[in-house]
Amino acid sequence: MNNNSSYPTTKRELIEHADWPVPEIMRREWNFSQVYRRHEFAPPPLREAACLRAQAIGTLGGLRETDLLAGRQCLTWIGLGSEDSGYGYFCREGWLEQMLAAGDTPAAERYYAQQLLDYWRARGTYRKCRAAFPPRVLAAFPEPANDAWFDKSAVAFVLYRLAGIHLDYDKLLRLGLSGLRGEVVAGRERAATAKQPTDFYDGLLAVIKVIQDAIHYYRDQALTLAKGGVDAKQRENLTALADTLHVVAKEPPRTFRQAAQLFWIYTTVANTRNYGRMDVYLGDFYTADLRAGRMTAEQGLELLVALWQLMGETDDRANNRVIIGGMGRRNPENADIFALAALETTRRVRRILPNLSLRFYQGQSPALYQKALDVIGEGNTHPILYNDDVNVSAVEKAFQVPRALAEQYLPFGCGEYVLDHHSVGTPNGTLNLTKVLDLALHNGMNVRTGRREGPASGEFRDFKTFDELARAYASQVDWYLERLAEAQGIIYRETGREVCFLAISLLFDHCVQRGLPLLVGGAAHLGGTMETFGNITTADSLTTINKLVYEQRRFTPDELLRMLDADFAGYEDERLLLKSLPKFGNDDAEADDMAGFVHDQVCHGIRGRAKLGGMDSYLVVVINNSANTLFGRNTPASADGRKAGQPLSNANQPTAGNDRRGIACLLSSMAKLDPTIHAGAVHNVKCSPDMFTKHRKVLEGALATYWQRGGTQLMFTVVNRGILEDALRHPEQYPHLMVRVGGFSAYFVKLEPDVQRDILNRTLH
Amino acid sequence: MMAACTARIPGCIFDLQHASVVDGPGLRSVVFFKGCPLRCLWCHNPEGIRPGRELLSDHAWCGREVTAAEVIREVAGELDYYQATGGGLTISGGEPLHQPEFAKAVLVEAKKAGLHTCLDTSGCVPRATLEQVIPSVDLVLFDYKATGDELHRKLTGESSAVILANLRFLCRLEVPVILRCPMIPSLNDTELHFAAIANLAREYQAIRQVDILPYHSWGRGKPKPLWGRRRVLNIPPVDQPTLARWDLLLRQTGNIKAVIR
Repeated sequence: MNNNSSYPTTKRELIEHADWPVPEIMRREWNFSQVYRRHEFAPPPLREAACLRAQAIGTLGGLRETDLLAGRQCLTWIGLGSEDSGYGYFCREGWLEQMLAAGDTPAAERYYAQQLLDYWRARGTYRKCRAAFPPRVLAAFPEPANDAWFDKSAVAFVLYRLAGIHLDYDKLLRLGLSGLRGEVVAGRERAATAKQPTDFYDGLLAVIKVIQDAIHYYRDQALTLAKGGVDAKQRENLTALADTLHVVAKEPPRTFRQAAQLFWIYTTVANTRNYGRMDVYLGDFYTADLRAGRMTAEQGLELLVALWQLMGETDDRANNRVIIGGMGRRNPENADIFALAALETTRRVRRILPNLSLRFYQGQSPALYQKALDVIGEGNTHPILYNDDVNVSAVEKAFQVPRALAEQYLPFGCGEYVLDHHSVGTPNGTLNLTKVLDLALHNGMNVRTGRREGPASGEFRDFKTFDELARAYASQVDWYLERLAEAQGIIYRETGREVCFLAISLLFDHCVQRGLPLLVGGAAHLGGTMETFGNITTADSLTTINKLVYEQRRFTPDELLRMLDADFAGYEDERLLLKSLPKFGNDDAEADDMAGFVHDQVCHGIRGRAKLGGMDSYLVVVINNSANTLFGRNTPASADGRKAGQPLSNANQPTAGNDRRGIACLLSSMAKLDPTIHAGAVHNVKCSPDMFTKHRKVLEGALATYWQRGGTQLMFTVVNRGILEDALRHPEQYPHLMVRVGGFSAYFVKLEPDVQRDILNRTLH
Repeated sequence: MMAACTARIPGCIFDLQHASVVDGPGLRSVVFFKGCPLRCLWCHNPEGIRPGRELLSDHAWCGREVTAAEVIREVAGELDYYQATGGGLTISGGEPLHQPEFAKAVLVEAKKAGLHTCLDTSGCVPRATLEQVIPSVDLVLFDYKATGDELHRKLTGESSAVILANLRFLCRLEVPVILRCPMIPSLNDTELHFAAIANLAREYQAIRQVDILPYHSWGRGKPKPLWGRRRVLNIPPVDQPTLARWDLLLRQTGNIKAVIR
């Protein structure tokens, strides 16, 4: 047998290979797995504390001479996590499989990779969750997910993750690690007195120690680096950093730098990726230092730039939210000063991370909103704007919580809401509504797989009225919702058996108080969310079917199906007709009402199924990043005239290119969808920089009207040369890109190529 | 009923654009009327020249018939956006007053709906028509294209006499006017022209602002049949040195109301 190419199979060979040292590239993963193996049957909190220690030792990245704040985490294939990069006890099986599949992988690596793969396939948290699905639930999710789910043709997917966790940073910074320890010790004594198990508290204490050790690890590095060949300024910085770390290892922070450091190191070890109301929890420290003259404004910005850069290093584009502004801040004056500094930092850093988001309301200092528009106008895509005058009462209704709690809503990730360190609301399911409609048109059959995947809801040709079709569609949606709700409940239950999420539980309402881990009764509000895709594509398709098949009777159901199934081959004129019919995004009552129907149907359907998954709330989120495009690839042609494989609509927006009546009509349509029945929706608007400079008053007036009409959220892309160039290549994505000279106003994409080049050149001046 | 009659008056337009920021203040909807008395060499809206619907190719028509009420219905849904931005409805073209009844109807209905109204006109219209519509106009965008009657005829095909008289008439009525001056390198961008613009701006309080609109070639790509036998003006886009020269000329004339757009 050739050792260099094959996996050893005989016992003798196995023994022979086992003598090989663990290859360097998987030492971290191997060590973590060994710790897990030793503690496999220990009480879960203790096992977890041991694993977290192993992980922290293995994955904390080194300090650099230029660092003003310490803490970076290296990626690992095997570990303990919460986000979808690694859920619970995770093993990135795909990576190991790739390593095994590659022809040039050395035999030792191959051997250990196979060992790890075999071990974790039986133990990974996501594997255990999936194994717990009963067949009736599993039937709705024929694809195994989690990896490469976009490439598959299923209608719905389960996502295994605990996304969007927000920690109680206010408490962390108020108590410091020693204060937190005191609280846990008190809890442990209560439990011991009541003769209840103390494992959970013991686990929490061990985690505090891990964090303290991580702090010491960086303090030692700072001191070592300061002694090495660094310049005077770096030496001063590193010494100050060592002092900072020394303080926060025990005591509550007293300065802004100490507070920022403790926040970041805790976050790094806990491995959470959304940072919540930073202006609230850092604002007092920031302003106190400024007022006492301990720090200049410029020094404050330097520290923030350093923090922003560390966030950027995580490279987690779907997370890294920092929230500023909004109702329900305990220290609005200090928070405002910090918020302005945060905006300025984003302006200076000019990166895609962090995802700075501004909440605002009538009565908040207008300086924040104005500064936000300035920053966006310079070509930044941040901050994202959230209208609290609408959102707070919407969250109150959607989550069914008191107003004071609703004021603590936080958008995370791609735009889902949770309640700050109070609710879990991870989106663990996706539903492609355009595919659901296609199932309804094919009596439950997925035309891509040729299998009946949804329930039998009747043949399209037998539906005598539009209402009958709408009912069939709704029954398909409901069938999936039921299974998605159950799946999310099972994921929580199974994960809760495996993982306590100690570092999260320590700073989450009301885990410590109740003595219970996050997912088994600790979290004050156990919510869930589910992502819907292609909402507007679905609505526009229904509008078309209603008009052409039922109102005008231009086509029979069979004729329409033939066009769709042929992907409009030979039906180009018919496709143009479909495309010319009313579409969402033009303030057209007919199209917008249908969007309202699709929206309301799925949102209400989900809300009613929270109990099914044992959740306090279960809500839709309409937050697609680029997944509308990726899902579109495997979605057949739709009746709105969209060809197979083309992108679906994104979030609450019209399908690209379908909004043709200007920004006011677009905003009007988007403001119509009810925000009181979901947990977040996003709205992208592309604007020319002129709107933020020359036409700033116009922009402000238009936005004010949108907020007044109930608009919840906006994010801008401000067009620059690069975007103009992209517009040349993909004109269908840029219907709003306006250019002007004199009395002639034009949409860039409608102009002749040489004219477009002309404008490209002008932009350079 | 009179009101219903105004609403039902039909006209021919070639476009109805929304969310414009260049046809008057704020966010505006712009109705482009078909038909124009002038034949400006630099015209960028050739589809606005001939009155009535015209066939471009086998299937494509330019222009559509609408009533004043239909126009307002398409616009009024966004009334609050227009009000919040200081915008409203602009009638343009072509020459909107080439369809006087329809223009008046649209303006009257717009005012009834609470919209701010702009009239974008070449000024080459009978005085009586102006008198009819002006009570429903909040702001006039008035073109001033060339100085000297002979040059004006050469560049636009018509005398400037009526146009200037109409401008003076409007100014004396103290209707707010934005003077719009398309500036075409080598055709009309003379010192004399800049001086004349400055004099008008100084003479009349009613002229609130002067927009210098540099020539652009964006109309060149529009369908061939629209141009008829006319030769399409083919000069390069305005470059930086030219803009700098114009800027200097403006400053020399002390024209504080003028802005190069």
